[in-house]
Amino acid sequence: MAERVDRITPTFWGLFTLGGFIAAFLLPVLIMMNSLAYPLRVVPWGAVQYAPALGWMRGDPVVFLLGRSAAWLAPWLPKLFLVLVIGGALFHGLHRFKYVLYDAGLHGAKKVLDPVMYGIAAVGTAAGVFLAFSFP
Amino acid sequence: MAGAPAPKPASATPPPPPRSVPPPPPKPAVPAPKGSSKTIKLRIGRYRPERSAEPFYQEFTIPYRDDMVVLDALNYIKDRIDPTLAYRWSCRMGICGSCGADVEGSPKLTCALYLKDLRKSPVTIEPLANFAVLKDLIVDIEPFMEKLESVNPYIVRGDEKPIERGEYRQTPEELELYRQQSLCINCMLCYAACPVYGHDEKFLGPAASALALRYEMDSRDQGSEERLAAVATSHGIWQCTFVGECSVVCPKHVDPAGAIQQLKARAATRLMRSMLLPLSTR
Repeated sequence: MAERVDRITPTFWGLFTLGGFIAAFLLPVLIMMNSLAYPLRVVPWGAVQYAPALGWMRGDPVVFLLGRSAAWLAPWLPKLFLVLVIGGALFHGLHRFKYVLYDAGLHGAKKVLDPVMYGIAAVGTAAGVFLAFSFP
Repeated sequence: MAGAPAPKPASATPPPPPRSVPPPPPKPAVPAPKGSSKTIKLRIGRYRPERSAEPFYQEFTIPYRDDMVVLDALNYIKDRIDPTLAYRWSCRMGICGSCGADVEGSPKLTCALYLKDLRKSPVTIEPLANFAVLKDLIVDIEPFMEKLESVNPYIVRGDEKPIERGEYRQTPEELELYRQQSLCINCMLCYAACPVYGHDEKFLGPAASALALRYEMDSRDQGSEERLAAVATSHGIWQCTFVGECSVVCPKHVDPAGAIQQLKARAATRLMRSMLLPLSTR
């Protein structure tokens, strides 16, 4: 069985595993902090205010943790975080969903499913980049 | 469709006996199970290409005791009721890996499954799924053997040292790294359970991948490059969708599904390294 080594699948599989790691560790935190903690009053009312929250989005914690010399990094890290969470979760989820469709009987449609699924993930990631740069 | 084929005129092979007959008078070969008041009805998938192109099911009702396994039932049928029943077996103790069959639709070692634990009646016993059937419960293992061979399942050395200088030594910790994968008995239950192998017969499959990882993890081996190249093809490990059923049915807890994911990680790491550092050899 002297077949050529597949170089394309492992690339997407790498995005799948990396995205799985990101989605498993970062996404729950993001959902908890953004969508659950405040409405469920885990964080008390009034504790979150606009100005400090904007400061977080601009990367104030980076300066706090790494000092003033890291100030140039500050605006970029939150954007990178958003792009990684959105893109990672999309590449992970759509790869998994593609395999679910294979196992459900669509294994013949590999040539169609591959571009569609990874295309959706790529478009979603691009949208994530757009979102990340839509705030200052 | 159980159309009884016309018996051959030759007297060498007796015509199939009528279905579900009580056992004939005891022969010395196998004594009737003593203290067996219970009976069990088995529905066995049969295929006899020399008589009929159509596979069919045949039902047998046999007495059994609580300590009898499915393989004992098959032996009872072959010895006492129908000597034409064909199936593989050898050790009766779950280590030879030859007695696998689909029992109630899930792949099992028939020597390790007790009749008393089967709830349905009749109990359906079929040849392992996803394989070509040669006769009755006997499947063609040739494609499987070729897959095993394709992963270089032996220690590959770049520098072979002369025998006088002794063996390649290994610590217990190094042995532990691949011990789990080395426990495979090649029973092929994982292939019968694998939906990916079910629709792509070229798929390398669970056991062969676990075997590849067994040598990958061996500290004495130096053939990683060719072995990873052999498994990371378009019909190799990347076809696995991680259903995980192979690890569920594995009687030796080899965890082939986990092994394939480990191979994927190794192959992907190697590929990334070769793209980022094209001049490095390992």
